[in-house]
Amino acid sequence: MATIPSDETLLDRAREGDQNAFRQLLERHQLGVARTVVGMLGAGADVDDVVQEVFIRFYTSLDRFRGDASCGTYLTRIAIHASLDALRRRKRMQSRFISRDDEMATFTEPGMNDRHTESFDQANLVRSAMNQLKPHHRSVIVLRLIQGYSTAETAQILKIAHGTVLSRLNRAMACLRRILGPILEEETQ
Amino acid sequence: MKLSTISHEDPPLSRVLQHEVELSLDASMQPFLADRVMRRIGSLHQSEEQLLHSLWHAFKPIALAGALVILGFISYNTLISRSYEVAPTPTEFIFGLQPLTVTTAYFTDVDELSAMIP
Repeated sequence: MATIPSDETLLDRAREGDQNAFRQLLERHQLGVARTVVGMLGAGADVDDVVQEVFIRFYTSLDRFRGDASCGTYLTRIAIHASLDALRRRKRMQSRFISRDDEMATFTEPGMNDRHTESFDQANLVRSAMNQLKPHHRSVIVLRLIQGYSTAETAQILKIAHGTVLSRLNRAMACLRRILGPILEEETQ
Repeated sequence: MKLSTISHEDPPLSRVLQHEVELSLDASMQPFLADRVMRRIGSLHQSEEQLLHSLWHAFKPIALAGALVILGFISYNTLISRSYEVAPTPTEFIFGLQPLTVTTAYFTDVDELSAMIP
């Protein structure tokens, strides 16, 4: 029976120029990276591009990756950084093309009007709740609650202090609970 | 990823967020990601090679012309150096400089200068 090569073995082979080994790593971690990016950005046309960019960045930094973190952790870190870059790009685009008046005209407070609407769209509400979070708070939520990393692992990935993870998590969760209250009540029942 | 060790601080919130991510994942990701990434990596290599190739083609005539000019100067300097009274150092030889001694530095121009003074 053929043994499944470890990430380290595949990394060594990829560093030597074995493209097939890199492809195996990609296939192994693509879902985790995609979850992180979708968690950060929500559904959108740029998600696929950002996921591709994560693996391109990983490929070009193979020689710099010393192996002090696991391959998954390293990829998650790249995914968070690439997503933060994409959020900055989106913000620049929005400020360039959407005037303040348009913004005020289309903006409705999530969780206020929607709550009274019959066609209540849960996914949209969750997404708009996530969009209300600051990018750095969002990254903590994605790593802790969506990807299930521990507080210590989250601190290691984001390169921030343990206490900072906890404070950001508390603030972000309070905000999400406030907006998603009705959905969470349904979940617990 | 470690979905089995998911946070126990707020399981309903985790479930809601994970569910939303799974829904968005299907809507946002196109198929054959691995193929597309490997193609881009391939083109990354290709573009590097193309750049080197085009640089070599652009600078080849300049490099050849430069080498010819340098060879010309060395030949000229070799011919000139035969007429020097003192043997030139390698640096003087390469740059075509006249060998300079203390005597020539201090006294040669003095006569010329005195001749110029009325």
